[in-house]
Amino acid sequence: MNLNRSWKSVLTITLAIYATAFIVGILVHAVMPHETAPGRLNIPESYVQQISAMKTISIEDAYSDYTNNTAVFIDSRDTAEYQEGHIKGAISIPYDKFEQVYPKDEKLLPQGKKIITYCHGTGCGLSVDVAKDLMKLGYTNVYVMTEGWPGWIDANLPISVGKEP
Amino acid sequence: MEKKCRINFAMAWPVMILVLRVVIGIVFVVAAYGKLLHPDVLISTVINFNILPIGLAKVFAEVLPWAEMISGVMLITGFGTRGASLSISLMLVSFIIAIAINIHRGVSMECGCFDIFGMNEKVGSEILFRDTFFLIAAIFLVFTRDFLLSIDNYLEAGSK
Repeated sequence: MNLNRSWKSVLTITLAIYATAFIVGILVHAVMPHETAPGRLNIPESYVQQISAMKTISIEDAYSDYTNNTAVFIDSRDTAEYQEGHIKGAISIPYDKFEQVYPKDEKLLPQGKKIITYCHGTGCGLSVDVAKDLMKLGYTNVYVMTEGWPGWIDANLPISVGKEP
Repeated sequence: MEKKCRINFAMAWPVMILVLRVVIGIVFVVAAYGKLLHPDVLISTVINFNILPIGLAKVFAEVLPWAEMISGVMLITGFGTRGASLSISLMLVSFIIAIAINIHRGVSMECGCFDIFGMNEKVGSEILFRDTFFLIAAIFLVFTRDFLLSIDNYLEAGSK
């Protein structure tokens, strides 16, 4: 029957698309050497485990912790960006200076308190890096505020400018 | 002599289908490009949806952008249009189910739909409505036979 043949060809094309996508996806993953190459997923299993274990928090929930004073905020952007503006009360721990800065701020990060890291918003991994460093040190109550500084600004929430938290 | 301006519906219909086809195609190509540029964001988004086990989520994140890209390009060029529309429909069904489950869970999270524009879209009813609209349009294209300015039409004309 014509109708059947027509639907068979539709299904065949759909399956061919998925098969091609599967092959291309796996090949790109296996062959392309650059981490930034299109489609490249150079993510080690340990990192995937960490991401899945990493807790994220929305701006609304983070602000609720902010008003109840139940969380410490960590700004993981660089120092100049922190000084241009940051969440009021946030501590500056730039992602690339964690080892130098953390010991000075250790007393500000009690193990029992919620720790919320943030950076430039979605697509920014700096807050994840700092959160991972903290988790390595044994902190378990670490959250990444994925909407980051842009989300906080958009919501018109309290900010501070300059070196002081 | 007075000329009356009339809409030629016989012509408007295929043009409307053409516009629908190209718009959906472009949306999927753009969405795929954003995902290919930020594979790490995509995998964390898929994992955060908390529906697939990690191993499967990784495979889904590897395959999804390419399936979106191939289907989008096929829709724009009109090559295997109905098959590409079915492929897009199935992807949209998976998105709608994933989004609906997370809305039901009350989870506040990133959608990861269009990373290319740095859009921080949150999973919510707006995205659910948008995807449902695209799904209806894509299903409509699956049942459509004649595509204006398409490779399918060109090939069919050649085979007759």
